[in-house]
Amino acid sequence: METDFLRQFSKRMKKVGTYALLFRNSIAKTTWKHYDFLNYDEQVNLIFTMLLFIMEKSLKEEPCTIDDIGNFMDQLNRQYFHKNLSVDDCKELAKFMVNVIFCNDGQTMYFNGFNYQESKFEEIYVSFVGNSIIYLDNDVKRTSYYLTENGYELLLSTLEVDSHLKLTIQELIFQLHLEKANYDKAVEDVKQIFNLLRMQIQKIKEAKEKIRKNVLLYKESDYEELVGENLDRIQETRNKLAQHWDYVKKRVYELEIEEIGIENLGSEQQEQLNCLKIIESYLSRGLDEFQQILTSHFNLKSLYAKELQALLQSKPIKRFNLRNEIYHPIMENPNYLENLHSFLLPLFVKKPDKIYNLNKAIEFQQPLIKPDKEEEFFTFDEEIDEETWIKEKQERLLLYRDSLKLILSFATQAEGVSLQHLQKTLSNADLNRLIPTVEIFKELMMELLQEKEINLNVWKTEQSQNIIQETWEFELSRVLLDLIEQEPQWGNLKQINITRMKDTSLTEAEEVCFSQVKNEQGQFIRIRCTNVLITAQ
Amino acid sequence: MLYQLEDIQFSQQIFYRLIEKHQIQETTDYDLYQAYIGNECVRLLVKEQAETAMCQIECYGDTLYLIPKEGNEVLGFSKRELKQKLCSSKGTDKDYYLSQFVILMILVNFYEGQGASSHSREFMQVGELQNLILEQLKVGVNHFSNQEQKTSGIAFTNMLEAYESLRSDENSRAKSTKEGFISGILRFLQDQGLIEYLEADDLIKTTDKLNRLMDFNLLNQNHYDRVVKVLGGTLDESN
Repeated sequence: METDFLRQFSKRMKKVGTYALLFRNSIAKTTWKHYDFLNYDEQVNLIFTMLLFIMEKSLKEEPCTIDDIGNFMDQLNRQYFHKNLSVDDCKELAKFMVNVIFCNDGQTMYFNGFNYQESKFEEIYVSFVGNSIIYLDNDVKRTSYYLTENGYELLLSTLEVDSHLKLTIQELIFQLHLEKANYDKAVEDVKQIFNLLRMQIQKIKEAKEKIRKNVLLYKESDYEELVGENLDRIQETRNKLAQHWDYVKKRVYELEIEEIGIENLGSEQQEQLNCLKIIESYLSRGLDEFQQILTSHFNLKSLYAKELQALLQSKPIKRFNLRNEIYHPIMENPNYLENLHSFLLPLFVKKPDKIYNLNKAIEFQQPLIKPDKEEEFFTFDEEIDEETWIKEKQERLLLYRDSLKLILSFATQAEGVSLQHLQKTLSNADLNRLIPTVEIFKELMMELLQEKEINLNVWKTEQSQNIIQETWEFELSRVLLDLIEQEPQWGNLKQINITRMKDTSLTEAEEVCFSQVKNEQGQFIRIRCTNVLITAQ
Repeated sequence: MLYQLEDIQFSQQIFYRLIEKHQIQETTDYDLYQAYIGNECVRLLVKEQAETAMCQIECYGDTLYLIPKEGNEVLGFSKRELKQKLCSSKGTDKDYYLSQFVILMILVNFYEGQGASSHSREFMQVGELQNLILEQLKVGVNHFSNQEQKTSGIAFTNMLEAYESLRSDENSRAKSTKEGFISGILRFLQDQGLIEYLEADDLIKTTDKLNRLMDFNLLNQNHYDRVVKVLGGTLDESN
């Protein structure tokens, strides 16, 4: 029988296998129902959206924890899917998708592809998302997810071009765009090229990890293919990218010269200039990535050679099956647990006991109280730009003011207002006014809670008796009094009360959660705070 | 045989670092690692020291590991010490056997591979582990008649009772709750550098160290005698 046309079959199955496993993991899972994703098409769309989100994070080399994925799910749901899901539901859904669909509960995934040359099924290893351990700012240990090579291939293969050709075709398109001066398209293309480069780096990284873990797991054919690809990429693309870079730099220069010549640059040209700058930055990053490919390529080679050599020196290891040899006998006769520790012994090493140093007992005692901090001196490398500094402070002060204004506008209603009410009723834009950053909101609420009862008349008298020094730091009294002075409708206010919800007779929750609020590092986090009732009369 | 002072110093540094960290990695301790791998004198000296200290030193992958031999009470854990580490201070023998069962359960589920490596799983949710333990204890209980369990020393019923008598409280880390008992074991394994226990994500992952020790040491057919010992037989009978 003629089977020439089936020669590449196992290669094809490798591609198909990724889709097959992805859908096998997701299809007919009852969990979808809990989250109201009943329609199969909806599920598939969501799966790929999530994969793309993880890819975005991987490309930027940013951490991607379940919380990040859950938050994204939440935003997605609010804006597009409109399912009745809480933030926690979204997080659970994200967990389900990552753990069950993408990672198969941690179990290794294989797809059996038939090899017609060998007339047998071969196991094809598939993995979409890998995970690594990261430490976030506050030293919390978390799992961060990233796209594996299979994952990248799956997402980028929508182009239906053989991976070998992808880069060249992308380059061709890019060149065409540049020549036709369609810059924003060119930006997209250059990003795409950059993605492919990152994918290659990821591929080398994974290969290295695999080799380091167990060289036997790494197939010789994979190595050959990878090294070939690396060399091709290095040879062909480096020159081309360098040419693009020169071209783009030249164009940027020309446009800038023009700008000087013609006082007012048209908005279209301005846009072109911006696009070109983006392209330039991507290209220079692309060149860096190339350097990285080059070095990792050589590292990979030496690592593989070294590991193979080590392997030659050691004899092949025969292993017995833990389940058959130990687990089953123990299930048959639990008395064997008595001596199990002697099997586990090689795993555990004890820290030797410490020895007490008698001299420590007669050492001079160090005073526990530290001397007052010496006055701190700030030195600036650059000259202090006082104007910018004051401007920043003023802008910050306005944020406090705006937040307080929003609270007061509700608090002046007859019943007053609680934080929970604000959280439920405010639009997203108003929530941003209420909590411009976590730090500002926290400071404001702390100050309010400390005061409990604010008698505005007393404050006004105090203020009139004191000499006011100009300051740009936040002071509740000053911001509040300024606000009241400038808003005539609040001129008659006498008293503001701030009470914790648990101290009132109302039955509202004691705590409120705000999700998706920004902190000063620009991260979106979720905060929980005491629910308070604020009334102003 | 004459040794260079430098070699002796290296060997001592290596051994001391092994006592301190239990492993020497090529990436972090390049000099020490290279001295051991590349210099036969140093290697011999270190092995000699290890022999005196009742330990083995093995190089798996890019790392040297210190492995205490059986009966080593200075660097290895005795059964009593293991019990102290794994169970609460009031823990009974039943708790100890339960803890051994939990560790075995983790290993069995992570190392089922028959290919080039026995490592067969990337991660496991702690909830899944909890369910597996309960399920398998019940399987064990159903396997025996009441009469049989009364006559045997360790019984699954006892372990199941010990497990079920632990309170369930998701937020508590006290060893008297199911979550606390298991997380105590997991944290011990983590301190030993064998697993990564991500409490915030409720996940466990095995480390390279455990993967290698399982592949090259524990499951190595050459060390089958340990299995025989656990099963209380002699080598001839079981082969």
